[in-house]
Amino acid sequence: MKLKHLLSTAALVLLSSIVYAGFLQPAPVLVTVNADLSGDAQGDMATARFSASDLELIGCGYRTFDDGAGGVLKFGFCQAVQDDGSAEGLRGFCSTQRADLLDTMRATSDYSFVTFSWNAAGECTRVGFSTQSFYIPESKEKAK
Amino acid sequence: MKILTTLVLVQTGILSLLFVKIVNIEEKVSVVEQVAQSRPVSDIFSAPLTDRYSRDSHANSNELQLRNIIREELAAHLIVMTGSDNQDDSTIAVESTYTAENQDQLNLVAQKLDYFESVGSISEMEMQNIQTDIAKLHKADQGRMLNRLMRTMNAGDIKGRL
Repeated sequence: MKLKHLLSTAALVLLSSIVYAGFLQPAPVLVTVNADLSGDAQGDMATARFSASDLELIGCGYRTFDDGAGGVLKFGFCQAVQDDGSAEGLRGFCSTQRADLLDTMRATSDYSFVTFSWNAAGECTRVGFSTQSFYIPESKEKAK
Repeated sequence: MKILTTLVLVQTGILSLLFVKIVNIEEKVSVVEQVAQSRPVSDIFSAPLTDRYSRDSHANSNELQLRNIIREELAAHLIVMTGSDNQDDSTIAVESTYTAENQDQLNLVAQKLDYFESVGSISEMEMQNIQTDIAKLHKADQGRMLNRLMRTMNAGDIKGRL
């Protein structure tokens, strides 16, 4: 009887692991800021969102403002914070008004891997996204 | 043998046609060169379109072609430049209309950024407000102030989120 219970428990454990199987590749946020304040950052949104750290974040956005004179200001931006153990974390920001980079920024989606670079002036010089199954988290609950 | 003769004839015909074409092209080139030598380049660009009718018809038709080609090339080049760098284009367009109001707005944004730097942080609401203020700047200043905001945040002088 004990053997039956043991076997069925083992079967359930095995089955549950099969149901949730799939390649996982969490990419924690990594930020590099150079001495001239240029830098780069990368990481996937899900890992940042469900990180145990309350600091970590990564993503890009797009803004359009009425300039009050019949025109608009359009710009895109990316930002990332890596929890490096300091109180504020390691932070990287960039913005751009370049049409080609803004087009790429619109390609972001849920659970994307995000990577971007910026120059010493704080202008984005590279923006990239990758949306893959292995960036979708196993559990959406924030780890404590 | 017949085939070879036919091929030689066809080849000779094609060569003759090519010769005639080359002679025509050389004639046209020499006319264009004459026109270019007889008028300074600045005249060709600045002369009104009607001016060309006062010259002899052959030279004028070539000049017209030349001017049209240059116009088309310049227009195509301008379109490419506009498409690849809207920011530069808008900067050039409004540079001449920089007003005292623009300067006041620039001073306001610079003062706010100085303030946030001195405090060391910026709230989300303040961030939205400063971006709205930047949008009201002269086109030439918008990018500069955005860059300043990014640089101070990358330096850790202002803590906040975009």
